Amino acid sequence: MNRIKKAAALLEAALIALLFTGCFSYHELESLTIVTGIAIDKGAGGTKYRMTFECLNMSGGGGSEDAQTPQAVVLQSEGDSVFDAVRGVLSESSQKLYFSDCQEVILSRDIAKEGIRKVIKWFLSDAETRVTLRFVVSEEPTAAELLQQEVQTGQTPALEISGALEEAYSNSLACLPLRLYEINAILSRPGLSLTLPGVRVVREGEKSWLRLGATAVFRDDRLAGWLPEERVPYFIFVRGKVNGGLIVPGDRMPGVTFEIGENRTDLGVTFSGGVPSAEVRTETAVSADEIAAGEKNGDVGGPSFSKLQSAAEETVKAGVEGVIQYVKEKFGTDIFGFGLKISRDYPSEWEKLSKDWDKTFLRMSCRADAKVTIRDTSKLVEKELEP
Amino acid sequence: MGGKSAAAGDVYFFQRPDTLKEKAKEVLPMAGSDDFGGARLPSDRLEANVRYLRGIFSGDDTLQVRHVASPTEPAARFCLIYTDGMVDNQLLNEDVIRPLLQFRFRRGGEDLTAAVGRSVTFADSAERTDRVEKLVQGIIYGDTVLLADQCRDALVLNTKGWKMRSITEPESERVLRGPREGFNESLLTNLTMLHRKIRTPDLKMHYLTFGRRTRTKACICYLGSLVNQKVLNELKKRLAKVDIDGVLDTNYLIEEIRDSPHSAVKTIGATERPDVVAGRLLEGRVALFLDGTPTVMTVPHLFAEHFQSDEDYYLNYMFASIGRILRILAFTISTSLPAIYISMVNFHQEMLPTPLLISVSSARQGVPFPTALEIVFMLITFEMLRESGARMPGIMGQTLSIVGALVVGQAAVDAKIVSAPIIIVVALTGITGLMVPRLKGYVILHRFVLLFFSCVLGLYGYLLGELALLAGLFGMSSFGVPIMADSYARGFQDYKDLVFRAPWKDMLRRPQFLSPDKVRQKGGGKPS
Repeated sequence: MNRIKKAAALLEAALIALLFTGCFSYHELESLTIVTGIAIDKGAGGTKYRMTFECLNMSGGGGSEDAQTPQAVVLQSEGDSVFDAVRGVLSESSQKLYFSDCQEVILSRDIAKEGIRKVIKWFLSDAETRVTLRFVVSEEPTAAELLQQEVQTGQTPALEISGALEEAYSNSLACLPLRLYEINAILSRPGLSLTLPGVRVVREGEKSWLRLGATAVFRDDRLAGWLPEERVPYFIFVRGKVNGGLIVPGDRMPGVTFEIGENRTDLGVTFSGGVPSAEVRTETAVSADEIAAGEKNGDVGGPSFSKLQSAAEETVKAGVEGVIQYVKEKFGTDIFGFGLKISRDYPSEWEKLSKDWDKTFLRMSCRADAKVTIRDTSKLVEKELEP
Repeated sequence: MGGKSAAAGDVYFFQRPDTLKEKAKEVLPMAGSDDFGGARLPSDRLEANVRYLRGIFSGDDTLQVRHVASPTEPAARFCLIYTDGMVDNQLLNEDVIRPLLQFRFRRGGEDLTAAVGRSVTFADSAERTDRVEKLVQGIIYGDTVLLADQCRDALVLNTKGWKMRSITEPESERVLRGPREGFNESLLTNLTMLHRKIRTPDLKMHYLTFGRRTRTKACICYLGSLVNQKVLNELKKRLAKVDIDGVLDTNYLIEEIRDSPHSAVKTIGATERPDVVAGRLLEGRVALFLDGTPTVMTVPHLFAEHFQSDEDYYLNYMFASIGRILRILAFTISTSLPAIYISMVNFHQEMLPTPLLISVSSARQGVPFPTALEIVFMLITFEMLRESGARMPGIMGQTLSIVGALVVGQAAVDAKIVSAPIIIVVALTGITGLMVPRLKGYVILHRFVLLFFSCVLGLYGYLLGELALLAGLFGMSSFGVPIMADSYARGFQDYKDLVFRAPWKDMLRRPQFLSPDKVRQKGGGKPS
């Protein structure tokens, strides 16, 4: 009997402990408003931030017939800090906002110019937001207007942008998407300057839609300017983040397009008399997928296999050298990571250079060396398949 | 058989002088009691003994009393007492009554019952006794008691012959390939089935009797050279303590003697298949047969046996291994899925991918009940449907499942009483639960414990509950053998019959803990 009483008391204690302390984070899914995107602008009414939240409005649900795709709803609030603005939106929403599925944060140009370090702080420390959050900069006057555009293929503007970023990361060279933890890492050490993808609105008559645009270049955490779209692919080449995409030789060999299979980029830095000079070596495996030069199949109108190869190599080499020159002239900030490379390979040299790295970067000579291997030509070139 | 042409010879018998006649003191046992306390037949007078036995069976109209007197010798008077329906009437007529009437009885020689037993009746077993208990048991169990005038002893003739179920395949243990026979309700038939499988004098069989009133016969079987003596002694010790008035099925005994009597996990195995019993005996286990039930219990019983189907051993080993892995997976899904769903949806939403989160969230819109309540409701509903379906005859069962599926599935979702993902979770949980039918009860319990912990503490609670339940399982034993014994696997020979089933040629050793003789085969069959 005594044992039973003891066991009962123990069970009771355990149950009370469980029931009174448990369930603290029990939330029903429908009580959460899922935030898919956030836009941050400067506040209008004297406050510092004006935040726009794109949320999913779950209507329908239940049976199979009225299962609808959720509609995007936009909520706005202002505050003196990011957290203040986030809390402020609660007075507009009947439900708790849920940030774990937020895809990206859109920064306005003004916010980017002021410096983004203080903006990302809240996203880094909050428990719900993910470190895999992507950040983009709006090329339009405000960031909020991007979230109010019509969508083309995605469910909501934020989801559409995140889809485009995902595609850019793996299949095209449109931009180099960065996640929150990568941005934080870049900002917390010298030797590599931050770049963020830009998003703009394309307008054609009545219609308008979203598009990935130029890439925003930062000096430290402040927006310094925009790297034009056509130079972005070669910037990605230097950064060594090519996962796919095309090489279009253009005038060098009209009508020919290469698809990149694999790419390896080596940054080599050498010192002569304390002055560094860099060499960018790329090794790319491509397939020639479109050769529209000849009149009929098998006739490629002259370009032989080796000519194809050298055209691709020249294109990459010129592109890479061009973008480095452009960045030096326009922004004077090292977005390629030469400094990072030196800090790793020559720590003692880097001690001397790190303070004034941007100036040294301007003086540094850069050379590019591109090597392209054509894996296959889709039978468009039949002869001369030399080693 | 004594046919019409049976040679009827002379039989000499001795008749006591009348002076020995004594006044019978007819002591009837207390009504309803089975305890005769060594009582003997009260008299040597036929009428007195008949009256005495009739008295014991007062109120039992199935008792048949047939008087026979030899046409040649009036002093040779007999009385046959038996239970109607329990005897083979043809046997009784041809082998007992006919010879009694055809033989010529003459005075001189031995006692009448002795003479009949030796020279007259054709019954295969004729025991001479005056112990009332034996006579009563005989009458009850289909024997015929032959009383003779002027004799203190009676003959118990084996005339058993009642209708019993034929040997069929057990419903609950069907196989696609392999032996199709199953035990029936007759102990002897069952034992012969085992004898036919294991033809060795090493197969030991000991009779026991259980039930003060039912007097149910039981038989312990094992292979003398393989059995673990500790297990056998433990079983005998526990069986000796059983004191129950009736035993109608093996489960009566199982619940009397099992380890961890209040756990939902079985610690004693049960089967209706002779091949399974034979297989288990060959691994060193002990079986207990019980008269009146086709279910045979085997000890010790390990947890892994729940996942083993007898068919595993008759099918290709790869196929059998897939089945076994699926069963273990099904057990895991069936116990964990509702708990994990609750944890993910209500505590750790960030673990759901965005598209899934959106679809679950939109399905939840407008549903009035919390997810935890929803899932408990639906799980209980499913168990009800299953339980009612299991007891329904075929056609009704079909109607039931259609109505159940419609009401529970379609209508509940359309009416937004429950959300659609719950239906999927519950259906998956239910179906996978049926894949391991032997663990049915335990799975339900395990599932609800985990569900409770998950509802309160999320994934942390799920792991906590799982740990507690597993610790409980690892602490249990069956007749001295830990039920998770083969989970402490060390090498191939320990895994060979656990998660997968190795080909027979590689099963070199018997399961550890079970038998002192570990080697099943030496080299294994190798193609030359």
